[in-house]
Amino acid sequence: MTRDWATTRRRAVGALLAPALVVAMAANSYASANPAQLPAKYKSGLSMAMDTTYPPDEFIQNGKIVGFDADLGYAIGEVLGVKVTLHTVTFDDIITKVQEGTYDVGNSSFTDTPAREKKGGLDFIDYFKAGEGFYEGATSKAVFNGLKSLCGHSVAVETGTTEQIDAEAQAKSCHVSVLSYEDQNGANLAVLTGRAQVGFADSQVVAWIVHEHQGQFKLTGTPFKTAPYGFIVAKGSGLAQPLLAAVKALMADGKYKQILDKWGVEQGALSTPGINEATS
Amino acid sequence: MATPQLARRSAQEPAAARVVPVRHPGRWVAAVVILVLGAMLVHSLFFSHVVVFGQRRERFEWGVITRYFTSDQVWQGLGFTVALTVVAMVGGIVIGVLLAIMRLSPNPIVTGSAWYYIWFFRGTPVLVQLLFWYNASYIFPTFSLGIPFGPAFVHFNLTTWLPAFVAASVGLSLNEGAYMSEVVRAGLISVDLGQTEAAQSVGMTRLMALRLVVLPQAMRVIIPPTGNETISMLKTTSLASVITVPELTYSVEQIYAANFRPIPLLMVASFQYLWVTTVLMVGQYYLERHYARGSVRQLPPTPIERLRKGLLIRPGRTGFGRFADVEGIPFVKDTED
Repeated sequence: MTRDWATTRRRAVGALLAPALVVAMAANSYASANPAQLPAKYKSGLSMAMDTTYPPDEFIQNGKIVGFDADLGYAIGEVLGVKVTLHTVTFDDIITKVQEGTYDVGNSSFTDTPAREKKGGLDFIDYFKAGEGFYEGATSKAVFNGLKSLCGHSVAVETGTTEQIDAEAQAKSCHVSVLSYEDQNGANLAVLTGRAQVGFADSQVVAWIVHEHQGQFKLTGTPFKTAPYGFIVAKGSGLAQPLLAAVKALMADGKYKQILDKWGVEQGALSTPGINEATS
Repeated sequence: MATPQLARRSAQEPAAARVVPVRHPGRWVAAVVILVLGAMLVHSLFFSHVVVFGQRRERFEWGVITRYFTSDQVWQGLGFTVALTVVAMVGGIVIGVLLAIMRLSPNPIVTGSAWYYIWFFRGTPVLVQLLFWYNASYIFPTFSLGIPFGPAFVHFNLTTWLPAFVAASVGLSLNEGAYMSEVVRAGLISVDLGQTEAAQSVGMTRLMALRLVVLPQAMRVIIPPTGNETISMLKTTSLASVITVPELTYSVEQIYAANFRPIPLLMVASFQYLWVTTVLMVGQYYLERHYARGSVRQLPPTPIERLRKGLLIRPGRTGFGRFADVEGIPFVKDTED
C-alpha cells in the first residue's frame, strides 16, 4: 500500500495544530467570542460621553458618575477587555462630539429614532427600551396623558431630547409652550416653580425624579411612544459590531438583567439587541 | 587728495547725483509672507474640506450658514436680543446714575446703601442672578406687599408676574446698574470741583448744579465706557438663553438641536452679533463727536469726510466744489479746462 504523503502531512499538521487552536480560543475567551473585533486604536480605552443629569440612567452621586447606563458602560468594557472612561457632556452636544471623534461612544439614553439615524451619520446599538412620561407638581389637578393633552399648557423638556422634538411637533398643531433647558435639573426646577405645568422625560427617569423629590412631584398619565435606547457610535468607526456583540454577551450571562434589576428598570429590558432598529 | 584735482573739480558744476530710492527689502518679505498667510486663510475658510470617519464635508459649511442666517427664527431671536439690550441698558443707566448720585451724597445711609447694592450686584455672577430672578418663586412662593411684619394687602405669584423676558430684563438691568454707577461716578468726579462750587455760589442747589453744570460736562467721560457696556450687553443677553428667553442664542440652539449642526449655527449667531456690534460702534463714534464739541478746537474729520477729501484732491476733478472747503482744503482748480 503506497502512502499518500500529502494526506499524511495534512493529518500530522492538523493533529499538531488542533490542541494549539483550542488553547488559543480558550485563552482569548470573551474577547474573541465575538466575531467582530474591536479596532486596534480603541485597545487603549473607550471614552463614553453622557449627560449626567438623568437619573437613574446616568447621574452623579458623591462625586462619581452612577446609573444603569454607567454600569452597562463599565460592563461592556470588561467584556471587550478595554478600559472605559465616562465623561460628563451636555446632552445636546454629545451627538456632534461622537460624529467628530472627540468621544468614542455616546452613552446617554439616546432614543433610536429614524430622524436621528438619518441626520446623524451614526449607528445606534439598541440595548434598552423606554417610553416617554409626564410628571407634575404634587398639588396639580391636571391630568396629562399622551401628546395631545399638552395643548394649552406649558411643558418643560431638556434640549435635544426626543421629548423636546415631540413637544415641538405637537406645538405645530395646537398651542403648546415648550420650555427647553440645558439639563434635566433646569426642567425639574421649572415644574417646581410653576414655570411649566408639566415635565416630560423618559419614563423610568420620570419615575426616579418623582421618587427623588420626596413628594413634591407626582406621576401623571401612562408612558407612551416606547422606543429603543441605543449607544451611539460614528459610522465608520468600527465600533458598532463589537458593542453589539458585547451587549449580547452581557445578556447571555445574566449581567444585563442584574444591572437593570439593581436600578429597578427591568421593565425596559430589551430581549434582542440590534443595530439601527428604530421603527418610529 | 591732490589739491589740483580738487581745484579742477570746484570749477565745474557738481555732477547730478544719481537718486536711488531707499530699498525696503524687509517690507517686501513681510508683504509676501502676509499675502501667503492671507491666501491660506481664505483657502481654509472657503475652499477646504475635511474627512471625518470616511465622510467628506466642507470645513465651514457656508451653505448651512447662509441658509440659516436669514431664517425667520434667527431674525426673531435677534429682535429679542436687541429689545433685551435696550431695556437692560436703559434700566442700567437710570439705576447707575441714581446710584452714582447716591454715592456722592453727604448722607452716610444713602452712601452706604448704594455701596452695598454695588457690592452685591457686582459680586455675584450675572448668570446666577438671572437664574435667581427666573426661579424667584422657589424662594418666594407668594410675594406680598403690605405692612412689614404685618398683614399683606396684595399677593403676587412671581412666576406669573415675571415671565422669562421680564425676569431677564430685571436681572440684567439691576446688574448693569451696578457697573454703570461706577462709570457715571468716574464721569462726575472728572469734572473739576470748582464747577460745583461756582454753580452753588450763584445759588444753585446741589441737584440743580448736578443736572445743569456737572452732568453735561461729565458726559464726555461717561460716553465711551457706556458705549463699551452697551456693546458688551448685546452679548451678555445671550445668557438669557438659559432661562428660555427666545433671543438669538436660544433660537440658534433650538435650530441645531434639530439639525445637528451646532458649529455653523453658532457662526450664524456670531455673525449676527458682529454686524449689530458694528452698527453700535459707528453710533458710538458719532455720539462721542457730539459731546466733544466745545472741548476740541476743530473736530477731526469723520471717515466719510476723509473719503470725500481723498476723492477731491486730484487734478482735473471738478464738480465736488461744495465740499472743497471741508477742513479748509483749497479748491483745486481744473488746470486743463
